[in-house]
Amino acid sequence: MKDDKVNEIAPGPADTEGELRRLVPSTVPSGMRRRVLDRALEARLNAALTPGMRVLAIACSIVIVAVLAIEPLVGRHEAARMTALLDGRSSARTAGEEAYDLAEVLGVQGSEADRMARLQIMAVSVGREDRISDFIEARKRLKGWLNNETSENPI
Amino acid sequence: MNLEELYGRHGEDLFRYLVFRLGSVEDAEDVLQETFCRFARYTLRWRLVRNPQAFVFRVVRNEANRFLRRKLGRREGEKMILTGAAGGFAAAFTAPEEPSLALLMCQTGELPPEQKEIVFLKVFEGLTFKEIGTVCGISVNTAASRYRYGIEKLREAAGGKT
Repeated sequence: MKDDKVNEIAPGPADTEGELRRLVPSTVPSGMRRRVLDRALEARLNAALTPGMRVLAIACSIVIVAVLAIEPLVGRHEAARMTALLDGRSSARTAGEEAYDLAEVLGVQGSEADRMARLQIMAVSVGREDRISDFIEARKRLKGWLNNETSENPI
Repeated sequence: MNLEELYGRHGEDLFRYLVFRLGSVEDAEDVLQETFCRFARYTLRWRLVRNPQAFVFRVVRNEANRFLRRKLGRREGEKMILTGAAGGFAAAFTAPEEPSLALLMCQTGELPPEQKEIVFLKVFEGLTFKEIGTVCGISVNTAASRYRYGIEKLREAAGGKT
């Protein structure tokens, strides 16, 4: 719209333009069309990436970018979990969750054997967490000892 | 994009513009071949092009600039890009027999390069000022004013001679 306006207001004497348009373009070299198109088609055939491969390459790059974006988030979650473990508590399973599991087992509509099996699994899991926290506690107590320990002077 | 169709629509106009830019028919053909090789590699890009005429002229202009840098070296190439080919008009058009027309062609060839290019694109290729702005990387108003100054100079020159 704006361009049309500019085209309208731009003063251009019709006589000068008309005179210029009378100039005859020089002739095109014979066979140029064929030469140009042949080379272009050859270039298309020899292209490093075909259109399909190009789409695939774009898709792969999107996946790589997505993975690179997700990786720090996963790493942060993992770090939080490790910190929680080293602090002697489980990050994945809080006391609230364990109570919820217990309530679920007690309220479950299955047979007595099912309930017992689930309670045993929970007990084993809690026992394992206790062992981990005991180990961490023991390691803390031995900290001073371990600092003085060398390969030549094993305890 | 069908290359045959593309050539049929723009091939000769692009060739004429290249002859004007480079001042040589052989160089123009080489650059036109390079440009069509580039077009052949563009597949997705064609779908994003809104104005094919402005796009093809822009691509051919960039290719001509690359050719000049490659052929003449960076410094000389840049100089040639700014000044344009000295005999661009003479190479792009056959010498007219009519003296007044020959004089007009000579005067057009002596216009400042930035005005000469706009006059060429507007008068001979029929591009709008918006398209010329896209091709040359300038604003619509700059393209329009350069055209106006160029045409005024030609008119004054014609008036002075007669």
